[in-house]
Amino acid sequence: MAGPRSAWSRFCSRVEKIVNDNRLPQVAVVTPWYPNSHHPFAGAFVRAMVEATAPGTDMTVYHCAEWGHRLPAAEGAEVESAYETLLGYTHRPPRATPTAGGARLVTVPVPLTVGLSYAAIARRHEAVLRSALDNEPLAAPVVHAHVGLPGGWAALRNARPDARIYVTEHATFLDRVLEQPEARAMYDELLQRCAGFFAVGDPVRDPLVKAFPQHQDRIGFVPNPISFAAERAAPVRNPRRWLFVGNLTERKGVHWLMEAFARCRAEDPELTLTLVGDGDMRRALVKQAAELGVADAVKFTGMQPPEEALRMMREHDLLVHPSRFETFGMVVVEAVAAGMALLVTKCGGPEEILAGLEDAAGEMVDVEESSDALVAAYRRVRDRLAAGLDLRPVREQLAGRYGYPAVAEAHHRVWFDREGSDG
Amino acid sequence: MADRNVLILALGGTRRRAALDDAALVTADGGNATVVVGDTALWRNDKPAPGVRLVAQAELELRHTWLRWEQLMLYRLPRRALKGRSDRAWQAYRRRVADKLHRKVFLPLARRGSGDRTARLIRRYETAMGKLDVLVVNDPASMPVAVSLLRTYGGTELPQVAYGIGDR
Repeated sequence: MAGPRSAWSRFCSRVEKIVNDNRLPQVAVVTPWYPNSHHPFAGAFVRAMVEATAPGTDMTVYHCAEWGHRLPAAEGAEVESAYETLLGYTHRPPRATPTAGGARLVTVPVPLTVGLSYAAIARRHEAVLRSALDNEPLAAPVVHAHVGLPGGWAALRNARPDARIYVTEHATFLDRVLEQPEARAMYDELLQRCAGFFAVGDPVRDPLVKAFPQHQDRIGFVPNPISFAAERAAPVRNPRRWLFVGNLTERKGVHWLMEAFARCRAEDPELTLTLVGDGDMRRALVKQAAELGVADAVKFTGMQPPEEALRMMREHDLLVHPSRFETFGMVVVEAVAAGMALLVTKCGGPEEILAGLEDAAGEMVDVEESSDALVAAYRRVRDRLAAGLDLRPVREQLAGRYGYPAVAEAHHRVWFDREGSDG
Repeated sequence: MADRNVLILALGGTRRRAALDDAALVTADGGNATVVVGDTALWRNDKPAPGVRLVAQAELELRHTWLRWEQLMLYRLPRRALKGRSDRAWQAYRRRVADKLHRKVFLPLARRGSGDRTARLIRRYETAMGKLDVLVVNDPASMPVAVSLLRTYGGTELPQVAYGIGDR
């Protein structure tokens, strides 16, 4: 009997080896942000990263979506206990739906009281993900998390012991996280234990290097990927259709945008402005547009799905991005991919993205508390486009840096220890 | 989703956009969507898609509990009694006495152990609506009610439970 059994065993091992050799490598992505019906814009860059990197892998995205509430403590505890029961109906086994790039998406709501410390939020993400996984570790040997706290922390505490954990940091609120001693200590531990840590730009990397000089060499750079697949019908010659994409908040400088638009429109009544996004300044902007007499030329579309925002970019001429601070400025690369001319402020991310290409894509101006620089820059870019400014070379350059193939290769190289081409 | 009955519990009103988007998806696909909401004031500026039913928790309570009698005693009978006198007397009574008693005494009393009670009301409403196919738990405040509601089912008729229509 020993003979046939060992032959069977050898056969099984051989089949197992063939299956394993042909199986795509498993990757788990853990993220607190991912576009959904409640926040269509949230984490568009994470979905882009998934779309770019999932092909060639067996990827599952765990979206730990924060569901904030202001319930009294007793009711909050009731919610936590009820949620634990509900997970038995919804997540055991985890229910996945298809998402970008052929990956699977598992949505894990994280109910939490508004106003918790960053450390407490991260621990809550950790606990909820563990519960959703029924106390089993993430199966993938490679785990890529977005946002150090809470995403990186939840990944670190739920990965299997031999997993390699990578983290991409995008957070604009990093300074506030590092101000809290407990969160800072958790961040330190995360940096120490992860296999690779990436910032999406210097505005994110600099405060981390300042806070953790001992980890300086571990903090690398990886850009958010942008699709350069679709092209616009005709090149921009007259930048009359202005577009703003983002939150309508103070930080985005939208008040100065409206003022600059009104001043420029006084010179050219054909100008229009479309604002894609929403925020606490919307009402004030509607009022400002009316006061400045440009209400009929300004359109507020509200929040739009990323695909729609990209389509609108191809139907507008000039992206005006007057932000006060950006860690990356994904919208700037998207606008270049859509063939738009740019009028952007030097607010962190954009000058890094356009380093060496500042004049090739349009105009960059300093962050100022006035509309003067924006108005002057508009006049310059209008004249340069009329004189034949060609936006194609900058598009090609950025595609090589931020296009899906380039970013996917960078990720696969670190995840699977692959030798890649240079860069 | 065609002909399927979907109940969306959105009692906290903290994820209204997702609730209404999910409901619109259901009706667009030929299904029936009912959104159960808590504080209706929160939904004042939100327009549900055609065919979506928005049902207030308070409406269920008034329809199905002893609050019906409270309404009779506190509002309808006094109104009848004050008929013929000036409208000012009725308005003053309503504002100073009836509304205050309703809000501060009877409603909190009716909502004691609200999870189970609300669940029973929803179940009664749902039974009238037809067999429930999908239960969407839209926000944290709805979670205790969802658990109570699920406990009222037998093993075989249990609806599918999700946190959004896209998650199923």
